[in-house]
Amino acid sequence: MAALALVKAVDGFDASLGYDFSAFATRTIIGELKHHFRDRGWAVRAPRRVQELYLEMNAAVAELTQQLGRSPTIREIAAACDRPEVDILAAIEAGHGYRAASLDARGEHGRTLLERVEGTQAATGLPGQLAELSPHLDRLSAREQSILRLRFVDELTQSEIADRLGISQMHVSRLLRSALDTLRMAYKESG
Amino acid sequence: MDAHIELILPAQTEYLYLVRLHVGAVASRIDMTLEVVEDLHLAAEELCMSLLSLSHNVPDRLAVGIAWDADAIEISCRLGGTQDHDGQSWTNEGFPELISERILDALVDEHSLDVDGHPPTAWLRKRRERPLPSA
Repeated sequence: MAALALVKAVDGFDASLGYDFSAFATRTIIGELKHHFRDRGWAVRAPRRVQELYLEMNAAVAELTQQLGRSPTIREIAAACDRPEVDILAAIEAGHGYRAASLDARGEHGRTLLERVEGTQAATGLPGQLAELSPHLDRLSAREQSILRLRFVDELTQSEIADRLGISQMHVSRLLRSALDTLRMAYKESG
Repeated sequence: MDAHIELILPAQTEYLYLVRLHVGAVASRIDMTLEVVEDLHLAAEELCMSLLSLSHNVPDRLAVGIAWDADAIEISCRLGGTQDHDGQSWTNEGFPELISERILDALVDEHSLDVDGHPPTAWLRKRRERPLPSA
């Protein structure tokens, strides 16, 4: 997407206006990426300003997490984004409608996110403790069970799971919610 | 607990975003981290869903209490309504109690579910990480 946006920037750049190309290209690429995520990323459409704040907040959380060496508080995120805390809470809520990256999408090393999840497991197969709890868990894929196991059986924190998978803690939160929703739906359908 | 608010909501899952928003706002007041806030969102949802998935006659409302002090948040849920539920038995159409308990075990410090009560109730407590480490 960014490469296509760069091509678009090259096509649209008019050197005779005397502007710097790198600044023009950066603005074009960011604009295209925002459009892409606004149009494709939201399962439930949130207002544009909230969508943009959510994306801005993600960047601020990543930076703060690195600076502080821990998850930031809502107050710290609000200060970093120069927004009131209530806006940050609204953006978090809106983020629940943000479509989690497909668990089957292939990443940098040609492995899907869930293949990376599975790669963190010492053993394959059903998570024993969860499997004992209910036969309905087999309605989930082995991959979905794996990410639930990391949080609810192994009791890794969201940040620890995020570190293992090389994704953000907020992304882990969305994946957990999605897996629990799938499981709830399985129970509802079977009930 | 120093402070307490109570939400009375229609007993429908589409109103749970109001619970998440209020839980987040309270957690923010006592400087819980984003990670804890997101765990609390999942936990509050599980707590409410463990009651909303009970059915007999559909209850009218869900009462959600959020109490807090500098060290912790407590969330309590109670089904209620204009109908008299005394003596009625509820049928769980959601997660088995063991799964709800497993999920809450991982997310919060203490919790209890009483799905056989009249009315059914659920409660959790999450302590703040203290002190917050800094860079």
